[in-house]
Amino acid sequence: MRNETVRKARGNRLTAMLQVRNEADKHLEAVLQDLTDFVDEIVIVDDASTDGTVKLCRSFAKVSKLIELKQSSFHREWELRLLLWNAACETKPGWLLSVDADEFYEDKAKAWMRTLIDQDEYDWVGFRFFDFWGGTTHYREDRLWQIHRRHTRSLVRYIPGYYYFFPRMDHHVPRLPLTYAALPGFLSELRVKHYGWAVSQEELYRKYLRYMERDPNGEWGSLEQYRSILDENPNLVPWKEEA
Amino acid sequence: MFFGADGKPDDDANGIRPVSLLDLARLNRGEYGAVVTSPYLLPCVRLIQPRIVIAIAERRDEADSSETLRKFHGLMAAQADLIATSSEKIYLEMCFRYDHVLYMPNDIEESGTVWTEAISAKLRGESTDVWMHRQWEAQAAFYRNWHERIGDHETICYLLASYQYLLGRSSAKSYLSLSFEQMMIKEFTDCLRTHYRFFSAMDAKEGDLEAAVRVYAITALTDEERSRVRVLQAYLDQGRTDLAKAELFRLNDDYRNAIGTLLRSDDPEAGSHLLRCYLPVYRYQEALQLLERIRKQTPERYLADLLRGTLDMLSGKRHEAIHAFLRAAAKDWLLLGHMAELERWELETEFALGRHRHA
Repeated sequence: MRNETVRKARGNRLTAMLQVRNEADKHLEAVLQDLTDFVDEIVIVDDASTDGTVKLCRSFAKVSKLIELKQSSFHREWELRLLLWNAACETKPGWLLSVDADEFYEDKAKAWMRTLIDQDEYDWVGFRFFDFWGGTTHYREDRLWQIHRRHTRSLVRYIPGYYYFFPRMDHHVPRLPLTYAALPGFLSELRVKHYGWAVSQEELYRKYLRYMERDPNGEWGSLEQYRSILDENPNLVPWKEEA
Repeated sequence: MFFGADGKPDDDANGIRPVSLLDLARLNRGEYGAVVTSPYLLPCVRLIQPRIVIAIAERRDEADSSETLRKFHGLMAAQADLIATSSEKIYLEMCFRYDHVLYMPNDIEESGTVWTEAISAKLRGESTDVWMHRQWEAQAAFYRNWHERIGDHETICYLLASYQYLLGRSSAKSYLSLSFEQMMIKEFTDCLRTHYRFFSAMDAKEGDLEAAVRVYAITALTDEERSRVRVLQAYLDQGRTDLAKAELFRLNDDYRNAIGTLLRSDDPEAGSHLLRCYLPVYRYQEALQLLERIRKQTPERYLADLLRGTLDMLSGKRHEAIHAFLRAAAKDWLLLGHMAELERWELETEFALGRHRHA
């Protein structure tokens, strides 16, 4: 295999990869519709959903591969990540976009997507993710909620034969192989809207309970941050779309 | 006996006695072995025409590691019949360059035996391979033991991978993988060339050149590196596997295996590739012999003059060195810079001898 194929500067195919579980009544449909507009293929691992998630996924033509787990592997996150990764790589993609079922790339990011992947200088792209809070007009920004202050690597070049490694952890496994960090990357100022917290007060409370039940001693995350989910008046900043 | 200023109080008891430069000149030629610790003492070593020259390579201060000084120490190592060091960093670097390197850590009893046996082997004209292998085995066992005790650690796994590689074992890859993983977990991300690229040398050693070139290509980020990939790929396409393999070793700083591959090769261009491997590791004697042999292929005669001048300089043949450098400079006046190197050499040599004279 020749070096030109290690880093293709044009004609790269983009495959989106998602891991889903019981998302039918949330943002999944909008996410898949959104992805349909700018990716070439979508690969999904369904972690034993009991609602209409699988049916919804199948309704999108660009979903080229859908793996349905009968038993949930939620508590073996490392295995789930690896399963999705391997399934996505089988589509022989040029680039892979790791997306959660509640993440939306801003229009500007979508417009730049082909430029980002059709080059041979860098192998991953970092975006700024914003945690929307209580709705889709504001994001949260305070000491404990500032993921947008750093970059999150979610778009990567697929290089066959490279050494891909996920740490074998049950929770908080990175969405993409850690070894991308050794490859050259590009830190973009393009933004991603995360709607995971753009829910009602009641749903926020249920999410708090789930986090506390799953990680009562703050082994995988920060207890202080879990508790901050219940803050009555979090600092919210209005989102401004950019042309 | 020793010539120098570093005598110890118990030298007498150990039968070691200091000698002057004059005494040194009176010693019977070919009867002694010389252990040399400074390149500036090489002209003195020539005085006794020793049966064996052992270079002691030691760690130097950062401030004292100019390119010229590195070159002088490199030349000393390349001129020696055996190289010994107590620094593992230098030891490993040397193992990737030369065929006759011994590790002499102060705290390992066995090193004394290896030392004696290796010198005896060398005096009998035998290869020191068996002793080098024995030391690699010992080092690999040492780090395997550490690995079992403390688990995966980036440095321990990397060293273990290096020794397994030197021993030609496929397990080198597993340990390099562990080291690479640990580097990532600990966010030491600047290791594509230092760690990941090493896989290409391992693939090359296993004979999987397609994989080796591919791994190297992944690490090729600059224009120069990418042009090297094109050259490597062309070699593979043309079936010139020796050149591809040697180049992959060279790109991983494994000059020893690169040179070994090229020496066994019958590719018509192997000679010019050998030259590229000899020069960075200061194996000037071999480079000069090669240049004489492939004279027709290398119009750069000035290179032979440069090498000859440097070797003359090391032997204390000042006038011959000057003549050789001037001949080379006729081709390119910038090469007169070597006269400054000669001057530095002479100053340092004078300083070293003066210090020893007054000791």
